[in-house]
Amino acid sequence: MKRFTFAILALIGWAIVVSMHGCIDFNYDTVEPRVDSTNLQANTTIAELKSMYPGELYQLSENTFFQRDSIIIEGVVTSDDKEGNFYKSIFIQDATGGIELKLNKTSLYNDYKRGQRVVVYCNGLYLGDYGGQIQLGSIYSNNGNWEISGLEGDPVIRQHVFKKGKQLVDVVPLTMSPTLLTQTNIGRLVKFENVQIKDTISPITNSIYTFADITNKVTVNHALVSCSLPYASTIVIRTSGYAKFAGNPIPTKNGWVVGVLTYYKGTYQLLLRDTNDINFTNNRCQQ
Amino acid sequence: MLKSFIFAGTKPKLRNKTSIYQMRRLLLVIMVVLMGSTSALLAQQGVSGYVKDSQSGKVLPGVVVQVVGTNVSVSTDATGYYVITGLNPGKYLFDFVLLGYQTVEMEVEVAEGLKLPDVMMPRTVSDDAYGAYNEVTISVDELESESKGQSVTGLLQSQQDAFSSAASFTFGAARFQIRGYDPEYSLLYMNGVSVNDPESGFAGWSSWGGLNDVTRNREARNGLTPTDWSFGGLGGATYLNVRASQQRTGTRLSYAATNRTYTNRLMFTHSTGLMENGVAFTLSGSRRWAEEGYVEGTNYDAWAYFIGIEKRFNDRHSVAFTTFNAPTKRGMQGVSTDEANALAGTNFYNPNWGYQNGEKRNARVRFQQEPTFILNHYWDVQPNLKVTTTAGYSFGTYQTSGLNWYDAQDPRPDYYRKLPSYWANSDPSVVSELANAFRNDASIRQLDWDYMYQVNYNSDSLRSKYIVENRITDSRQFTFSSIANWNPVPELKVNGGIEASIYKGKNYKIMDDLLGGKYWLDIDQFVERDYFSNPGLAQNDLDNPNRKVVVGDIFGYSYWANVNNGGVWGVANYTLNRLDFYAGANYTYTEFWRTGNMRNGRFPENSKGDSPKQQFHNYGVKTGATWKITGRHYLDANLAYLTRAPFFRNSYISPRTSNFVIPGLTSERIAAFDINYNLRTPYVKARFSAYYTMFMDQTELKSFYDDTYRTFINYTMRGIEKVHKGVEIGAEVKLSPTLTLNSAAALGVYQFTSRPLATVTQDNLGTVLLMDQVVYIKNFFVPNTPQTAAMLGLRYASPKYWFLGAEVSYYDHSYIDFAPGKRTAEALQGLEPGDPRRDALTRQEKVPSALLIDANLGKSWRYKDYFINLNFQVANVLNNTDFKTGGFEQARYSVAEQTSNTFPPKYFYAFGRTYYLILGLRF
Repeated sequence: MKRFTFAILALIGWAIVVSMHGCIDFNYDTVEPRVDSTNLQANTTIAELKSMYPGELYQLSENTFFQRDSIIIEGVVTSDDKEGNFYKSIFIQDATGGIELKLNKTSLYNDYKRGQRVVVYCNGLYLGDYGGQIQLGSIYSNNGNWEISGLEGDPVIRQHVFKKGKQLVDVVPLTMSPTLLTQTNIGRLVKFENVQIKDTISPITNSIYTFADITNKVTVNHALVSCSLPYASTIVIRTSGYAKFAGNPIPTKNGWVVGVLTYYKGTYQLLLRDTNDINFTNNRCQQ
Repeated sequence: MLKSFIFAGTKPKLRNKTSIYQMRRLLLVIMVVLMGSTSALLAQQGVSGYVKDSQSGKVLPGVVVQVVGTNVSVSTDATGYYVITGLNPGKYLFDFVLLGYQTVEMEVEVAEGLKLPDVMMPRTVSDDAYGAYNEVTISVDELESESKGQSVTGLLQSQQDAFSSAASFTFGAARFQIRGYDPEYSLLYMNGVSVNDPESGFAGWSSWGGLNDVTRNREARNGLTPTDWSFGGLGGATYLNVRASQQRTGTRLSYAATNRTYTNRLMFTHSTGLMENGVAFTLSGSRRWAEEGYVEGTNYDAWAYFIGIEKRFNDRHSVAFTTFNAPTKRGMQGVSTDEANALAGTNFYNPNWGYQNGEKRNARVRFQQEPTFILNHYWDVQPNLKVTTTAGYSFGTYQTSGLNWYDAQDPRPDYYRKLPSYWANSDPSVVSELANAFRNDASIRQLDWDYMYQVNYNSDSLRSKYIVENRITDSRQFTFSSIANWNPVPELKVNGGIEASIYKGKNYKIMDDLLGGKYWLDIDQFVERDYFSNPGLAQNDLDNPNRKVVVGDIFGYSYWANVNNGGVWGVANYTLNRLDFYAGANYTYTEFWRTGNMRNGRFPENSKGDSPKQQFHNYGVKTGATWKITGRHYLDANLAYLTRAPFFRNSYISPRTSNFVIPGLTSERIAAFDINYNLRTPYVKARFSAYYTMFMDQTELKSFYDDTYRTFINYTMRGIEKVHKGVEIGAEVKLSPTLTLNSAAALGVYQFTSRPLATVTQDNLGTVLLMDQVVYIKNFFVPNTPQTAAMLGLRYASPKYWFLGAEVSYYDHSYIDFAPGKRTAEALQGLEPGDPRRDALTRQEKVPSALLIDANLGKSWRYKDYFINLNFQVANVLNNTDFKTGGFEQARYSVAEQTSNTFPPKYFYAFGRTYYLILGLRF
């Protein structure tokens, strides 16, 4: 009997030990803030990269013009999709120019804030264009026709796009003049001074235009005019119907406006990040 | 009680079942009863005796003594004593049933005052086997899904016949539901307290998980049959008897090792039995845990305690107090599409977890507990009248954590845009890169906690973009019931009772983890996205606009579900020489309403404060008869018509935000009929049943993201009708004294028989998008239960206290849950008959049939008064990991392309080979 009592006590003791051992933890250590950086060095300027574009869809590889085994660019992010006027792309620029990098991902400002330095490893990516504006990205088949498209989510983006450091760079927009409104500067952050929106009152509703059609989510262009400088091409402020400020009335006065310069078939388009990019406080000029 | 009895007795339906003569005789009896209870004079002794353990000779309390072929059954008391009254002289079979013991059958020639010799019940070698199996089946998964039904089989049914036993223990692995009924049609009582959750109707199985030792005394009835303790449900009723005086005396200690949802279990139980001073005491506790269960990323930690005290004051009064709780915390399993499973290399791919600092963290953690207190008063008023009165109180919490995010990428690794199939039109080399990344990179295949933290750290003013929130239901419930069992004359037995319940459940969510951020803004992002020009609309709490939420704060929604019930029921059983019959009726009053704690920006006038009360008056009538062809052949038939109030959870369009109830909210109606033939010979026990059940006026509510409207919608269907019909066969054949063959089969057809009308509302704004959309689901099958199930088992029990058994089971005709929106004229617009897309959108998918093999063996040893049991079970011996037990279509589909290819169904899979090893010691 004593032996059994002992055995039972031993069993209970063992049970306690086993039970204590199985301590199930539902708590986790916090992940610490991390600064992403990269050792990749740019060996190509954005202007050089754009110059490689032969006019049709083109995949970048080690056998490109410069006999480099890789094509790496570095630039600073100038776009911002927080307000919804950019969609699945970022614009980056270096001293030589800017380019649109298409990424098939939304809310990109969570990853790439304005001023973030990024390095792009371009091998395997494609150059293409949309209405004459050169873009960097992947390809997809639109009913059998290959077109430029965004990088297919994080697994692909991670292999090509690298953040470089935490320090945000304050990009000074290029102040535009008729001589600067050229293909070279497409994709750059630019500023137009002493300009105003050409037509401000809708003849249909007899009220001030809004930036875009927020009800039907339709993108709208508003022609921008300068009273002092003779721009040869049409310039528009282009706003997505999904932009948070799409329903705001456009400013009717005169002043400066900043945005990313894009291009579509002869028309230069200015994409605003948010309404801080436009400051029309002066009286309109006579067109 | 009397009132309802009269009501029952005069139900016209009875006439069909009995001859006019018998009818008259019944009425006569009723008259006698009504004319004052002189009947008490007809004192009777009935048939009585004691039940003991064949090995130890100790008395066995809590043994169910069932008179085969009748509705008569009793439990042995603390001294192992039972007395059965209400039997006419004649030959009967008695079954003595107790979990952990072999059922003993005894043929009895009943005469008044008969004293039977002691019944010696032999232990089964697998002392704990059934209990363990049960528990495992319960916790297989309570998978979150768009599918309505959760997988909880009609467990805890008796093992009194081969079919019920198979349905409870074998078929459970395949999500088998008896007769295809949803679990809420099975009633579950613990010491008189109904444990079906008033808000949702589900039985709270997990509230006593890990208390197997004390819940083995149970009485169960199949199908429509009424019981002594309740009017009964549609799918049967189970009564767990946890009276301390009826617990097996002694101490039990066990350890189990397994590889299912948990990996270790320790359990301890001690019962004093009824002591000299009239007190009985039971104590039990357990812990179940796993660092990681069968499914990757699922951890498990469950404790349980049980305390039962009973005091017997004299021969007539006993009072019992019971309290228990089973706090359980675990990481949940998720389900995914076949594409994700194939890439992950397992059908048990769990998208719920990801690495955080090298540790696996599950985003969906469930915590639940429900401390319960039950007070019983057992009163033997007269030898022929027993009154059991019960008061219960419980307060519970049920919490499930989950990720939420604002203006950031969907963090779920199996989100459709992240799977290779979404990129079908991309460069094939890139697609294979994506597939490889999913296969090989845990930060792609699983949640990427690190990314979420970094996004939060990067956010302006540290506003969290990703959070873990905890969705909570805190409930408290008070229940009261009183049941009387009365034998005014030997031929007549009347059971009746009253019951009432007051329930309040607070539903809300709190901030659990800001994942590195400083705060979360309490607004609805979908509303904000669509209506940012009207910031008031997006407010979840208009009285505290743009509130910055920190850890521990309530946010999003908060409301009380108030549900009150009251009811009365009565059943009269009347016995003739060759014919027994019964009739019963019940009435239930239900009221519920919502009390909002937040003024929602979308529904400022319809969200805060008390909503209008919804009130329902429901009744049910049942009748049935048993024809004793001989003492070994019985034929019985049951007929019922019931109405049932809708449950709170299915009644509100969007209970989190507003008071609106679904259009046409009404009670459900059920008509059911079954007929059973029971055969009992010394070598064969068999039952053959056929049933036909109609459900009418059912409603169903689903919520999901809709592609057409680009927003979350609530999809309510009303006017759902279903027919469940089929046969059940069960047989236990003794091939030799040591060899037993078990066989069971359920062949059913459960189908929708109407075209319900759907109302579609936008969750954000409550806007009615579509009214009375016809859903073409007539002849669709009721999903997620095999409509065909069959098993064959062989068991060898050696006289030397070991056994070996194996069984093979087969399942077929299980269908996955369907998305009603795809079966509408709107969805099929422009698709000609014959267009393959039309078929793809509307066809209901059947999962493949499957075969499972289970095996178990056990041995027990005795040393003096110590008993050691070893039991080893292997489920799914062939390790079939492709067995789909069901699934559900994603409600979302591409409206433009009229295909659901990007949103394929998600499936439930039965676990592959698992084992359960239990070592138990009793003394």
